[in-house]
Amino acid sequence: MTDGQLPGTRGAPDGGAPAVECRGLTKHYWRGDALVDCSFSVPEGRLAALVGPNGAGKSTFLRIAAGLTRPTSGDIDVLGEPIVSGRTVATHVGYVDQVRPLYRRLRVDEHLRMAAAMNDVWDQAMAVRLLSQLEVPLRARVGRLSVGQQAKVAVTLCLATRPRLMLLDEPLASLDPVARTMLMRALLAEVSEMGTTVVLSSHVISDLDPVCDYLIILRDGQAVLSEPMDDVRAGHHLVVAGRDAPSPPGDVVTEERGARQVRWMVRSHEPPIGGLGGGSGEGPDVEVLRPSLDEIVVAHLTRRHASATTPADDGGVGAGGADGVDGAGQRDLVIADEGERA
Amino acid sequence: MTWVSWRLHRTQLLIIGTLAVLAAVAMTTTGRPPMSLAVHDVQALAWGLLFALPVAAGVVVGVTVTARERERFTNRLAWTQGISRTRWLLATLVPVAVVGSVAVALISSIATWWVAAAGNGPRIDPNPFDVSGVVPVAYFLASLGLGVLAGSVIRNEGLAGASAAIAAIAARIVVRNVVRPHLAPVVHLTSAHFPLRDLGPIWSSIPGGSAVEHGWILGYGWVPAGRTTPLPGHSWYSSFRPATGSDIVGVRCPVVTPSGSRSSFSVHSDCSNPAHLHFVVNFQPLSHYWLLQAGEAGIFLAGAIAFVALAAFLLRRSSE
Repeated sequence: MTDGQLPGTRGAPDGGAPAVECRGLTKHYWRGDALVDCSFSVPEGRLAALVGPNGAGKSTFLRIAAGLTRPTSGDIDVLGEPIVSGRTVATHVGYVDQVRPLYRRLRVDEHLRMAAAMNDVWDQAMAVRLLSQLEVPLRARVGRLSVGQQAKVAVTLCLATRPRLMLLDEPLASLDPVARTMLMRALLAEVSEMGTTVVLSSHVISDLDPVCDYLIILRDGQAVLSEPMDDVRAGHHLVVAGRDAPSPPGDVVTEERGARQVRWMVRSHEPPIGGLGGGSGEGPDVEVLRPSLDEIVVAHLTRRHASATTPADDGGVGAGGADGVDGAGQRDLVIADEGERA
Repeated sequence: MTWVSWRLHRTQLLIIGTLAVLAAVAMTTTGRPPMSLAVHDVQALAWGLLFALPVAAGVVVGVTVTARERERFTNRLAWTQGISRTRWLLATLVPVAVVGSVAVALISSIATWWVAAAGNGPRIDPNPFDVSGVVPVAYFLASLGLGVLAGSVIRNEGLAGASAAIAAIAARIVVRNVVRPHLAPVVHLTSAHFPLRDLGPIWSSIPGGSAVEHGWILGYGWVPAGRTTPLPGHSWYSSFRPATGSDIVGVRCPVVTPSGSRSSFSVHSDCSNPAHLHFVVNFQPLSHYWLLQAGEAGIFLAGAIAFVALAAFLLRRSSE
């Protein structure tokens, strides 16, 4: 009801209550499963990136968390309260849908008036300030705005309710780089001031790289990774060695065999050099590189459930899965492409 | 929230208002209502608007409240704000229901005057009844409820609107023909002779018959003595002039001939026992006008509430 209930500072410790926690979340549609026994949590105060190919269940998860979609089974707690679709009123939770639904015939300022009537907490001053900062005309009909401008309106409507949790489904999709940067910067400034937890889904991993401090990778309806971004970076190593070198210790996520060398994505707390028989730089053909976030995500998305990987040509991240038994590799390449384009 | 409802449905309400004004102008400038729909173009337009407006307005606004939102996904915006789905439904629905009801009530009161201006006072027979009194408001609200309900099941606005309109029209036809005649006790008048002169029955020629002229005639004809309705499996004879070999209301009678110059008909002596037949007219007198109006309005209002309640239940359960 008042701003006093909102946490004033950002960055609750990871030991704190999770802002979102799901256990065994399953959503079955007639055309297939969107989520299968999916479990993970996002600690309060984080800016979490939710990544995965189309159909991995990102949107379904966000809609369930927003109380729009009823899960087939499993539980989900949001801000410590269980969510029951249709019954739970989303106070303190903001949601921006993938299609960014707005009333096309209404002007921007009419949307503000409407949102003010529908929410106990509404910061009109913030909304007006944000929209002018984002260069969105208040008197314009929403139907006449560009996709990017509409996204800015949708995110502003969400921010001005001063939510404790924001669920954003592809907020940057189909935005040009200028609008993307502008929106992301404004969003970051507001949420870091309010201490809002954000769960943000995107195809474009490079957009999330510099801003997110938590990463969830969804694949085929399951969370294959869910941890702080720092741990993700510190815990993944790209090992490049001669093709006859033995597998490195630790959790080998992917292995790509080329004509002369082999590349492993290894998940371990320690750099996996020791197991290869030498320290860093030991031997001409053993090298440990720091993978980019793109490479880490793609590795997890192309990982075979069995540890074996088929031989593949040099280069082509994820090509090992492209001739795919499960087709996942094909979709992942699309993601990688989008990341590069961005 | 009232502003929100007005803002979202402004266009439809303005269109309804315009049509209502058109109907009002057509009525006030033409004075007398026609006996049939096609007598005069303007009057026909007025009749058409009066019949169609409550259902059309209700359905169009009703589907906007639910189907349009779901079709354009704006319900995903509305349902993730700080109010419940049911409250959102009522917040957008109730103001337009009130405004629409007031508009329809205004029109139907003008129509009531228009019908009475024919000179015979208010009328209880079906066509004038449908457009006067309080039933138009009830039709509007029931159609609104049907539109809301259809929109909570069918996501496509056009399809939902068409389904709701068909359901509303069907409900009106069924209630008008099957239910309304029995909403008040039917009055039976019996006579030993057929009150016929020239082209039609002259009701005043039978005792108490003047009430029939202002009433709603449900059926008349020869039936066996002791009955007020045709025998099972038979219907009211459709014409005052039975044809040869026809089946007169429940009694097989081979030949009926006019006696004299068609001023009266009598049952032919070949009929097994003419004394076993008497002439009956069943009707709802004008004094039952408000009983029928209240009964029918009650049915449609109950329907409206039930449809909206069911829609609210379905929307609450719906999974986006």
